[in-house]
Amino acid sequence: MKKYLIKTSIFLLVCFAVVSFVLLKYGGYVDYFYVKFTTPKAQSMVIGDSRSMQGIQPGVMNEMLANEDYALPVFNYSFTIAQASMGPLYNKSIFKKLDTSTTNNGLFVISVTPWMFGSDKNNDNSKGEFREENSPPHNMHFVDMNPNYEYLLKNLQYFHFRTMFRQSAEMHEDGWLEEKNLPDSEAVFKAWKAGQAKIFDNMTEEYVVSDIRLQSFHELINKLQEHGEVVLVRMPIDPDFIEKEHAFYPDFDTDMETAARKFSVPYFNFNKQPAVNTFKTYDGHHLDKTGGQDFTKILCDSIVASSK
Amino acid sequence: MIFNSVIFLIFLPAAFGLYWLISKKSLKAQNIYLLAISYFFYGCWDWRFLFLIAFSSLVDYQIGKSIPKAKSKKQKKVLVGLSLFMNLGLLGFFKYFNFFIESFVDLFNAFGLKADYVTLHIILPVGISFYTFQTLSYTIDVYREKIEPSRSWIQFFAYVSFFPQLVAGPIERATNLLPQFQKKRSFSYDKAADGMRQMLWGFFKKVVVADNCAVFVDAAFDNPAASSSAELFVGMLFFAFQLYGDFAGYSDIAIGSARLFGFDLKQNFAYPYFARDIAEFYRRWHMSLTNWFKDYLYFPLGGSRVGLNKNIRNVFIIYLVSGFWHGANWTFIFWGFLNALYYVPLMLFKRNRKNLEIVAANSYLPSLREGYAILETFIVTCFIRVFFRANTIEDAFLYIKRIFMFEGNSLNNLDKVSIFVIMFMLGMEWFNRKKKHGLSIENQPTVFRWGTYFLVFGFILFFGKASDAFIYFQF
Repeated sequence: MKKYLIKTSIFLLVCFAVVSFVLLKYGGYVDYFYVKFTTPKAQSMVIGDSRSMQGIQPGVMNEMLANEDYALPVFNYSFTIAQASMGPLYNKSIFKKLDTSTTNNGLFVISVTPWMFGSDKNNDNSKGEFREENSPPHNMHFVDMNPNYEYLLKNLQYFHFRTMFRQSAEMHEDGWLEEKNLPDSEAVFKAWKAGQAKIFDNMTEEYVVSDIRLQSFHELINKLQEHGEVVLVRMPIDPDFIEKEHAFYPDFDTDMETAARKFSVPYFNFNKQPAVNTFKTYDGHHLDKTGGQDFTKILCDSIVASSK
Repeated sequence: MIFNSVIFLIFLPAAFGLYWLISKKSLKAQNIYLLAISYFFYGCWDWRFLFLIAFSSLVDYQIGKSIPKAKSKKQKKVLVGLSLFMNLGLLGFFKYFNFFIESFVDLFNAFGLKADYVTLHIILPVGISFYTFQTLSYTIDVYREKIEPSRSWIQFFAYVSFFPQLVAGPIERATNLLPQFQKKRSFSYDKAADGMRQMLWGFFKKVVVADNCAVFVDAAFDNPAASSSAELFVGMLFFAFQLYGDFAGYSDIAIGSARLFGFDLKQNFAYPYFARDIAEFYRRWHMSLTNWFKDYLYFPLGGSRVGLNKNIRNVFIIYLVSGFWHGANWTFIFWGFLNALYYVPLMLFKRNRKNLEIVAANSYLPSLREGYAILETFIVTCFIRVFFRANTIEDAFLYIKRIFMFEGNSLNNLDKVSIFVIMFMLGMEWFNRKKKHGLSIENQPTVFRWGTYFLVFGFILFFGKASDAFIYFQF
C-alpha cells in the first residue's frame, strides 16, 4: 500500500504542478473567465455582459482618467449574457469582487443591454429561480485567489487548455477579453453576424423582461453610489440589432433614463436613433480591439465631461 | 455522478481510502461499505430509483434462496419464470412501454383504424438494462445449479449495485463477481497499479478520442443535407471511434476502478477494430453482452447444434434482440437485422469461428490479406452503424445515399487533433493487443512507462473535452 500511495502521489503531484503552471502562466488563454477570479479585489469596475467584456478596455480608461479623482485601476468584471444578467446574483458577486472596505471614490461603468433584463419564461424570479445560478461568478466563493482551484473544480467544463497553443482569445489581467480570432472576409463577418442575429431571435422568443432584474439594477446603482460614481452606458451596435433589441424591450431607453434620473447618474446612449455604428465590430455586436479602443476613449471623454 | 466529472475524481480516492481502512476489520464491513457507497453513487442521479434496484435485488435474492428448496422441477421453473417476469417486466415498462404503444397505434392507423396515443412520461432509470441482465443471470444460474444461492443479502445487494459497473456494465455474471464478494479482499499493489493504468487509458479514450470525434459526428448526423459526401463519410468513420472511445473508455474506467477495490471484472472490449470478420468483431465488442445473449438465449434456442434453418433463425433472433436491447427504436432493430445479414454468410460457409486468436499473434504487423480483412470489416460495420446513430431509418438511408452521391469533398471543421489521437489510440492498442488494455505497459522500462503516463495525461489536459454523459447511459 505504501509503495502504491507514494507512486500515485508522485504522479498526481506532477500533474498538479503542470496544471498550476498552466493556470499561472496561461490562465488568460485557457478560459474566458478564470483570470477574473485570480486578480485582487477591485476599486473601480466595468459591469456588464460580453459587449462590455470585449468592448471596454480598462487599460485605455486608466490612461485617460489618470488625472481624474477616481480610485484606479479599473477592473472589467463583465461576463456574458448567460452569466451576467442583472439581478441579485450578479449584485452579490460584484460586491464580493469590490473592495468595499477602502473604496469611496470608485468609478462604476454599468453597460446595459435589454437582454440583461431578460429572464427565461420558465424561471420564476420571485421564487429565486435564475438561469445563471449555477454558473460563474455565482458559484464562486473565492474571487481573488491565484491560482484559483475553486474555479477549476467547479467550472472545469469552461476550460479549453488546448487554446493555450492557438491563443485565439486572451483574457487580460484587467478583465478585458481580447478576441484575436477575427473574420478574415466580408462573408465570414456576415455569417457571424447572422449567427448573432439568431441568438437574439432565440432570446426574444425565450425571454421576458423581468421586473425583479430591473429592481436589482436600481439596487445596484444605489449601493455602488456609496462607493463612488456610477455611469450607465448603452454600447454601440449595428442598427439592425437595435431593432431586435427594441422589439424585445421597447421601453428599454425610457427605463434606463428613468433610473438615471432617479439616481442622478449619467446615461450615455450610443444607440440613439438614427443610429449609425461607426465603431468596428466583428459580428455587428462585439467591438474588436481597435473599435474597443476608439469607443473606450470616447466613453472616457463623456465621463470626464459629465463629471464637470 | 459520471466518471468524467470532478465529483467522481473526489469520490473515488475518498471511497478507496476509507475502504482499505475499513478492510482491516472484516468481510462484512467491506461489503456494507461497498453497498453504501454504491447506493450513494447511484443516488446522485436520482435517489428514487434506488428503490427499484433494492426491489429488484430483494426479489431475486429471495427467489435465488427459494429455488434449491423447491420440491419439484416445475416449482423451480415457476420461480425462475417469476424472476424473468419481474425483471423483464420492469425493463419493459421503463424502457419499452411508449415504444410498444406508439408502434401499435401506428399499426392500427395504417389499417385505417382510429387509435390514440396514451404515452406516459416515463423516465428511464440509468443502468436498468445492465443491472436487470446481471440479476437475471444470477437466478438463471442458480436454477441451472451453476452457482450456490447467496446466503448473505448484503453480499448479493452489493453485487447487484457494485458502483463501477452499475450503470453501463460490463454485465457481470454472478458466477464471476458474486464469489468475489464472498471472500475478504486484500490490497494488491500490482492489481491497483494496473487499475490506475486502465483508468487513465479509459479517460483518454473517453474525453480525448470520443468527445473530440463527437463534434464532427454531431455536425454530420444532425444535418446530413448540408454536409458534403466527404464529411458524411468521415463522420461515419469518426462515429465508430466515438462509440468505441466512449463505451470501451467507460469499461476501462469501470474495470480499473473495480481493481482498486480488489475486484476483477471481465474484459468487455478486446480490440474489436482489429477484427477480421463480423463474428470476430462481436466476440471482441461489448463481450459481456454478447456472452450473455450467447449463454442465456442462443444456446437455449439450440445454438449452432440445430439444422441450418433454425441456426439462421437463431442468429437473427440474437441480433434483433440485441438491437432491441439497445433502445426502443426501429433503428436499433434494423441495425441488428443488418448485423445478422452480414453474419449469416460466414456461418453458411462455416467461417464464423475462423479467427479466434488476435490478429498477427506472432508478428508485428498483419499480412496484406489480414489488413484487407480488418479494413473491410471496419468499413462495413461503420455503414451498418449509421442506423445505430441516425434518428430514423429514413435518415440513415438518406445519410448513406448522400455519401454515394459524391457531392463535394470539402472537410470543413475537421479537427486534425481527432485524427492524431485516433492514430495514437490505435497504435497503443495494436502494441498491446495481446494484453487486457491499451496501457498494459507494466513490463516496459520505468522511463518509458512514466513518460507514457504523462503523455496520456497531457493529451487529457490539453485535448480533452468536457461532455455530460456516456452514450451507453441511455441504454
